[in-house]
Amino acid sequence: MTHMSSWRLLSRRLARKGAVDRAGIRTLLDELESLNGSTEAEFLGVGEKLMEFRAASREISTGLSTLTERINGAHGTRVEDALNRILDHSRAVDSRVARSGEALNEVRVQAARIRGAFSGLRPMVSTFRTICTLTRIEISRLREGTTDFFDLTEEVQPLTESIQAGGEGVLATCARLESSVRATVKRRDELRAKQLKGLAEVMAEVSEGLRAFEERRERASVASVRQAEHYDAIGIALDGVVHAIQFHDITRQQLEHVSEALRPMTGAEEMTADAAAVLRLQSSQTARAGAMFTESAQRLKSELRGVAGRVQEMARASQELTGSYSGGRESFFLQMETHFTAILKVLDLCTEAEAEADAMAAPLSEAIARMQEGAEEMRGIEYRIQRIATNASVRAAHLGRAGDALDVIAGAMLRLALESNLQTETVTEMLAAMRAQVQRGAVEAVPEAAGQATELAGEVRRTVMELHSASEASFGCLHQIVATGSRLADEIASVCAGFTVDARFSAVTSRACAELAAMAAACGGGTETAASLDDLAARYTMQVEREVHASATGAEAQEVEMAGATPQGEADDFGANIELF
Amino acid sequence: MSDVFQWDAELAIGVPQIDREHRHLIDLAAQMQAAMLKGAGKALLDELLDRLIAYTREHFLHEEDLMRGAEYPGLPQHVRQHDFLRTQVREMRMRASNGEVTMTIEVLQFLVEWIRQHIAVSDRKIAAYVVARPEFRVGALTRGDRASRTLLPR
Repeated sequence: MTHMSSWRLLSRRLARKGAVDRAGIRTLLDELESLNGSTEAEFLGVGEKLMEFRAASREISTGLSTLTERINGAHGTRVEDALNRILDHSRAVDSRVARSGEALNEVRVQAARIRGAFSGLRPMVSTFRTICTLTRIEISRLREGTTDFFDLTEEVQPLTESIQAGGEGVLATCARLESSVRATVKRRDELRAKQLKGLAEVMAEVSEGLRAFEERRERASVASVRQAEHYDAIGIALDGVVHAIQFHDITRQQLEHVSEALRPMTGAEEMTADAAAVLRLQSSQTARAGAMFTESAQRLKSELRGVAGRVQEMARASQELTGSYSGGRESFFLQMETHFTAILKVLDLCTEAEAEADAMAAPLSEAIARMQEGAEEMRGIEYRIQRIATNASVRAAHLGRAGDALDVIAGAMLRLALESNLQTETVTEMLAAMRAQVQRGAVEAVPEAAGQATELAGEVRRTVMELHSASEASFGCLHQIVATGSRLADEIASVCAGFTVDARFSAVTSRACAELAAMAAACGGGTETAASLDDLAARYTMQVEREVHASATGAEAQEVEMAGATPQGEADDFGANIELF
Repeated sequence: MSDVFQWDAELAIGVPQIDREHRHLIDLAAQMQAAMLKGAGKALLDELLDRLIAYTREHFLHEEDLMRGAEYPGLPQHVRQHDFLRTQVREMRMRASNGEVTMTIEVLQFLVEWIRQHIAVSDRKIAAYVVARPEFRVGALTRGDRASRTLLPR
């Protein structure tokens, strides 16, 4: 049976009865038009918000991508390289500290050797003094016959004093040197312990930083995947919202069509059978529009809530990426900041210790220099003794047998001077070696090496500061992501809460439906006819409806086949009308 | 991207001067956040901490005057919170003065918690109490009673 045949059969069953309630229909028309207008405005508002939500979720997604890139990309590699460089530097400093310790141990050994070398100096000085006294006695004996010995006497007298003073001076300087070496080695050991502890802390901090960084890298990978999922889900949820809005468009058109069908009746005088059927039919259509709108509004709200949830999930993904965001100490960024601070502190300690080590070398070098001066003085005395001994030997030779005793004394004096000189030369060599070792011991206080160490420490400091700057930028970015997510979720919730047109729609369509049904019922025809019209309304499409209304309002009716119309029980969520949109 | 720190009507406690001061704190946090986004937070650290020290000195005094004037029963607990915040700020200032510049993340996190916990929770309790007492309504406070005298601009 065609739509038109069903229509005609049903409309005949309705009795012609009374006048048309034109005022009532006009009121209904006004309400339906106003309803359509307000729903349109509200949905436009939602549509605008949807655009904002899409933009905001894209911003979150971009922000998360930037963060992930920072961690996994070139920046992340740079961070890892820098942390590894700090480790290399720490190891280099560690090795330098060890070498300087070895060098200072050598200095200590040399100092002990010098002390050993000078152990015979005191008896030697005593022997020299004795020999000088004997020389003076012998010269005095020999002078009784001549005055030629005056010069020699004049030289021996101060030499005795010089030997005494020089010997004592060298021994005192030697004692001071040894004491200075002992103090330096002790202080150096303390500094070394401090440095080693500091370096161990740097290494531990850097290793921990690297471990945390690796952990974050892994989290970033997981978060990236989740982020993509969330973003897809947001896209789907937003599509769902758009879908729900399309429903609104269908219901809006349905209401427009109801208005279109009712409008001619505002000019009709009498209720015809067709007009009564139209009323019944439009009552049914209005009820269907109301039901569809309620469903679409629920879908809209549900999808919006889904979007809000997803947006929050995205923001939460950034928290997972970096650890807790709750202000607890477990926050990744705070942990990294603590590592950076610790590294800088220890670096400062190491730099101070190195500076102190450099400063320690100065008094030690001074003591060595004084010792070298003392050795030089001893050498001068020894040369004078050799010269005096040689002169005495020559004089003794001139005196013949009378000078035998003087010759013996001169020989002893010469031997002693040569022995002493041998010892002095050995000590001089030792002092030169010691000086070189002190320079090495003062953390290679050669200007180039010291410069390199300072430069390296500066580089490490700069690197740590750069890493911290990148870290604070990431933290700021994360803050924004979380704030945007949370604000967006609030706004979506606010849109949901402010979406009240569904209640109004339901109220207006229910009332219109009831009034139209009442008007139709007043025409008679019974419940069976009304049910048949409702069934017809459920099955026919808007196109058919337009044609039926055209027929009912006097236009030429066309036979429209029912073939292809979907029975109500099998209709999908969109209803039979959706095929036309 | 949204601004992280922006004044929200929900943070308002209803006493104009206190609200202005809270806004000022949020502005300070926003400035720090903006600098940090550029990786330049360290350059702002000293100035920020100086301003926080001054802020705690003035603002806490105003709040405590308000609570005393309103005979707020939670005064001792609130003052303890102020003492804690003051101590934290001073410690941070001291660390920064000793050359510790890598603490901007900690400082910003501290400000976030301050706003989230102290202003949004504890200070709102004062507001709820004060507003509920007719003699201490905001209108009265701005007309020169004991508490308001310290709250008016100097």
